[in-house]
Amino acid sequence: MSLLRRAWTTLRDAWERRLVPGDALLRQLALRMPESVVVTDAQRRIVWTNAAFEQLSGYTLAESRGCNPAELLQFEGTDPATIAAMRDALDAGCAFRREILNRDRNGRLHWLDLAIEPLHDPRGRLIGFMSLQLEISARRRMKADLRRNADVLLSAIEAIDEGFVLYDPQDRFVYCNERYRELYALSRDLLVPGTRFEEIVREGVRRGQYDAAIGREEEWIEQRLAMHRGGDRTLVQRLPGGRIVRVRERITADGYHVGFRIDITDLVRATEAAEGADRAKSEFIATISHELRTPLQTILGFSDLGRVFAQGHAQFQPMFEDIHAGGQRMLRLVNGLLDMSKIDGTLGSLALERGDLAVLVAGVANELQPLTRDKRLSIRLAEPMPALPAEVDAFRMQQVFRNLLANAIRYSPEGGTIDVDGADLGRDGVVVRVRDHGPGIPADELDAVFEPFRQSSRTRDGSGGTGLGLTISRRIVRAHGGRIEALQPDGAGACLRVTLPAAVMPMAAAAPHGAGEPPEAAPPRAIRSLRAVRAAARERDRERNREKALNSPPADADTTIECA
Amino acid sequence: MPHTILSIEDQPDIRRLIRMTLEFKGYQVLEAGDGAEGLSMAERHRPDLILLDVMMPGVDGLTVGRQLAAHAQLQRTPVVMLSALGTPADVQVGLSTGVREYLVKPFSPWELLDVVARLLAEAGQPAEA
Repeated sequence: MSLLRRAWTTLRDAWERRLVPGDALLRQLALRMPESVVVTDAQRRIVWTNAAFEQLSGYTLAESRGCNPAELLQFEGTDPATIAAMRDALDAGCAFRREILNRDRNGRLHWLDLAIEPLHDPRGRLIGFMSLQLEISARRRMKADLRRNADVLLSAIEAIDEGFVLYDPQDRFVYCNERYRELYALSRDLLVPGTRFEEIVREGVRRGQYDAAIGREEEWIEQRLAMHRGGDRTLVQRLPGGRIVRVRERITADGYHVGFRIDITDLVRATEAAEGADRAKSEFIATISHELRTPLQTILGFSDLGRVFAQGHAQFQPMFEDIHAGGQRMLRLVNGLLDMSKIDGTLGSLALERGDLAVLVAGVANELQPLTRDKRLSIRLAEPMPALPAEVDAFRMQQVFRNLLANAIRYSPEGGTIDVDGADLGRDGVVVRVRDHGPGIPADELDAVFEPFRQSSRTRDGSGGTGLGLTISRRIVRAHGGRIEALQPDGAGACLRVTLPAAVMPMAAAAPHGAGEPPEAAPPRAIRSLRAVRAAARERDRERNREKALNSPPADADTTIECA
Repeated sequence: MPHTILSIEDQPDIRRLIRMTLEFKGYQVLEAGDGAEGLSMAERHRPDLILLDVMMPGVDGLTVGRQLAAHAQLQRTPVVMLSALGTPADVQVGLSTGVREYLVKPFSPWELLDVVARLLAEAGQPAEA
């Protein structure tokens, strides 16, 4: 523009020195100037125009000479205020500059950047005006488009239910939407373009805008600033009035900080309420269970004594037996409930260690051996049983196997067999299957048996467990990241399958199979079962200690078995 | 002389159960219905062993347990705590008072007799049979 400005000044000076329009310098300038130039006399009649004007307006100099440019080019679409302002300025002999909409000879409209300067003779008398017109239609269109786009964007940002804030690369506030102002009501007046993020945060902290900062202001500010600098972070903020927002910050490619505030108050409240209800339920169950144990002391204790005292009294003995059995059953139920509430509360804190599921299940099978005698059952462990490394809470996983095997024992026909096998599926984890030859589970109940107090319709009348065993088992297995399913095997019976994720921890120093033994050589059954017995004994000791601590009944199979 | 066992328990039915169980094996049984009475009876009768309920109105079993452990004449008397409270924390709190054993209710009469016989034997005198 400076070149243009120079040309313009030269032109004006030339005119003021009363150079005639035909002057060679003017012709040269006129040729070179891409802008329209119009020179009028003091009465605003055109005395000269350049080629650019002829082209823009559609009027040759011959046609326009003597006309008032305003009459020639302004039309009903020209802003009346602009027209009036221009008239006033020129009447006063002043300069004038304004964007104006004109119409050319062919009816086309042009937005022009119009500049008019008065021309004076050497004695200072007004002799005319010179105007320069720059076509800016395209620029205005572009600006209008940009503004429209920006408007659409801004109204979209206003319309969203989330807080939005923008800081420039120098970390100065640029813009936020109304939602953001609502959320940060205490800092509302700080949200002014140009204010630095740190100032807004510091002053906000001083005013108590951030709950978490109260009492540890400087530390909190440091953390907040560090997070802000890091970009691409998410955190949760509690604001006064109980609002809770999730803060997400991102840095754009050109260095702007974009912040979003998602109001998660309802979500958090709902979650807290659900957790509270869960906790209350667990506590309630725990309390009830304890309360029930006291009367059970009387029922079980006296019936136990009664069984002995009534020896020789044929009519009393069965009564005490029945009372005692009923009490035992109730105790199992109470323990089951207690266990379930305990599991709800503690599954997050499993004591995971690398172990061998094959050893665990063999130990439990051994432990339950006494229960198989009455019905002359046999538990057959697969031969050979592969090592099944997994990360498990051994105590909890034994509880699962105890439930599965107890169910299998309970529902097996006299003289039947229970098959236990396993497989190491590599990356797909390890599997243990317990299969009985009892009545089985109907296809449409395969999932329902894991619900509390739901038993298979085929076994409902069986000598019942608590209806919690499989529920507890599923929770335990899921807490290990695994799954447990009931399957319909070929032929009669039920098959329960436990799948746990593959172990990633290194094998513990004391390998369950013993050191120095070629792992591929399956030991003869006798040795193997001896080892299993020893392992089971060790586990049982450990478990007894834990159970004692955990308030479960002693490791007497009768009271620890749960079933679905 | 049969061994004398003091049973401190606020619930009459459980007190009766304990009495019947112990008398079945020939022990002599003294009974107290609350903690304060239990402490004074212990001082007066110097039983060979004390069974102590935890949840009792007034002076509870934990307090009694601590007082017995601190008592010059009674601190060597074996005490078995009996309670329906059975979380690991409950057991730990109970044992921390200085009692010898902690039985979680419901316990079986035979289990109680086993514990009593063992503690009496450990205390140096042959158990009654």
